[in-house]
Amino acid sequence: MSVRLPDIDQWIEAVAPVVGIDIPAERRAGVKAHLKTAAKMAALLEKTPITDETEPAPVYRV
Amino acid sequence: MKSTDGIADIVRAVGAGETTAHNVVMAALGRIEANNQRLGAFTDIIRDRAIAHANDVDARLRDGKKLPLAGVPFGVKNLFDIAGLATRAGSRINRDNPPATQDAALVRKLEAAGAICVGALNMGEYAYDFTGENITDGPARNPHDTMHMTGGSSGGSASAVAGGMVPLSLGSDTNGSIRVPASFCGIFGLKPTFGRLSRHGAFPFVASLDHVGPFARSVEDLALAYDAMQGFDEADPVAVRRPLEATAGRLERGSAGLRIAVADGYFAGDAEPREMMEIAARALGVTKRVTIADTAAARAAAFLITMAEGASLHRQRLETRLDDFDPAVSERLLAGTLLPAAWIERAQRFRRAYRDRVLALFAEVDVILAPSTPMRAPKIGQQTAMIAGVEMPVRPHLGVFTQPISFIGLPVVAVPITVPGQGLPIGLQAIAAPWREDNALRVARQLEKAGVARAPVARAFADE
Repeated sequence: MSVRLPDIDQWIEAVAPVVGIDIPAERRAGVKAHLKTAAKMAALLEKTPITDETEPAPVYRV
Repeated sequence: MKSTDGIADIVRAVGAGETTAHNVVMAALGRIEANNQRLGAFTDIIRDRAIAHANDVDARLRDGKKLPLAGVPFGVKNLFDIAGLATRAGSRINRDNPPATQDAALVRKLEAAGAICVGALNMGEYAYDFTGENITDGPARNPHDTMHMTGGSSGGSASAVAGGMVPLSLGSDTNGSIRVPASFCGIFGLKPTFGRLSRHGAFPFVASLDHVGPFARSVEDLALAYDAMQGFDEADPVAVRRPLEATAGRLERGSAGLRIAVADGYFAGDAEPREMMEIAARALGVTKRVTIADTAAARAAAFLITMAEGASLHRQRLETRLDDFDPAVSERLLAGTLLPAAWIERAQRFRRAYRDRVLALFAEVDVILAPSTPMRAPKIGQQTAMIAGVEMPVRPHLGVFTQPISFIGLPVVAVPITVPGQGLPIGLQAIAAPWREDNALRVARQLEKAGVARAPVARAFADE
C-alpha cells in the first residue's frame, strides 16, 4: 500500500501542545511507530468509499 | 470432581446428591493452589468467600431450589468487579483504586444460578493486548506448553479453563480478546452479539467495541453459562432489550438445515489456519465460499477507534502516572491522543457500511467460518514471526481475523479444531447473524459431534 504519510515529527510537535499532552523523549520512537501505522490505516479507510447517507449505527435493534 | 469434569457434569452430580457444591469448590481451590504458580492464571483467589457461597448453594439446594449452574466454580478476568477487591484491569495503576462495592452484573447472574466465583484472572494491561503477557503480574501461560503465550487479553481466563482449574471463566473481547486466547489454548469461547450480555461492572476499554462472554471446554457448557447470563440490564448503555433466547436445548439439532460457508480472500490465511479450516469444512461437508469485501478497511477502522477511545479513557492516567503503564500500552495510547477526529468519525461511519455489507451475506448463509488466529501460539516474549513469508511484529497481527468481526458486533463461537500430529491448538470462528448465537453454537456442536472440535484439559493438568 503506497500512501503519502505525514511528517510524523511535525505531527507530534503540532498536535501534542494543542491537546496538552506531553510525549516524553523515551516514548517518542514508539509513539511515532504507532502514528505511522494509524496514518496508513486512515489512508486505507479514506480510499474505501461510503455514501453521504452512511451514519454510524453501533447497536442492532432487531 | 476431576479437573476434566465440565459444567454439565458438575450440575448433574451436585443435583443428584453425589457430591456437594462445597466439595466441588474445595477441589477447584486445591487445583488452583497446586497449578497457579506454573500457569500464572489467577491474580486473586477469594477462598473464604467461595467456600461460604458454596455452602450457601448447598443450603439452597436442600431447600428445594432449582439452580441451573449449581456448584460450578468459575473465575473472571480481573477487569470484572468482585466486591471487596480493587479491579486492576491488568494494570499497576488501578490496583490503587478502592475495592469494588458490588460484583459485576455477570458475576451476580452466574452466582444467582448457583455458580461460585473463586477468583480473578490475569490479563493484558487494560485489555490492550493479544498476547496474555503482563508486565506487572507476569505472563499467563499456555497449559499446552507453558513456554508459549495464552493469547490475550483474556489470557488467564483461557489458561484457567484449558488447565483444568475451573470449567468456566469470563473474559472480554474488544478486538479478539476472547477468540484469540480460545484459539491458542484450545478451548471454546463465546463473543455474543454487541448489546446482548451486560458489561456493567466490567472495566471498559473501547466503549464502541467492548463485549463480554464465557470460556468453557464443551459447547453444551458454553451454552449453559451463556443462557444463565442473558437478560437486559439498563446499567449497560448499549444493552438491547431482548427476550431470553435459550440455546442449550437447541444444540443437538447440530448444523441440520443451516447454510454454512467458509470466508475466503482476506481470511484465507497461511498454512496453519488453512489446514485447520479444511478439516472443519470437510467435517461439515461445506464447499461454499463467501468473500467479505473491504475487510482490511474494517480492521483499520477498528484499529483507529480502539486507539482513540482507549486514549480518551486513559487520558488523565497518561498525564499523571505515565511511568506506571507498560510502555507497549502507553505508547499506543499516547499516539491515540493525537489522532484527528475526522478519522474516527469516518471509522464509525464505515462500521455501518461494513455491517450492511456483511448482513447482506446472511441472506444466503447462516454461519460463516473463518480462522480465529493467523498461527498457533507464539512463544512468550516472541516479538516477530514469519507471516505470508515476511517477518512481521507478532503482537498486533494476532487479531487480524478477529478484529473485523467484533467491529460490527456479530456473535461468534470460538471453536478449537483438532489437527492430527500438532501439539499446540488452533481454532476457528463460527460467525452468525445478529442475535443468532444459537446458530453459531449449533455449528460448533456439529464439529464437536464429528470429533474434530475438542477442548481437553491440557495433558499436564488432566486428572487420570
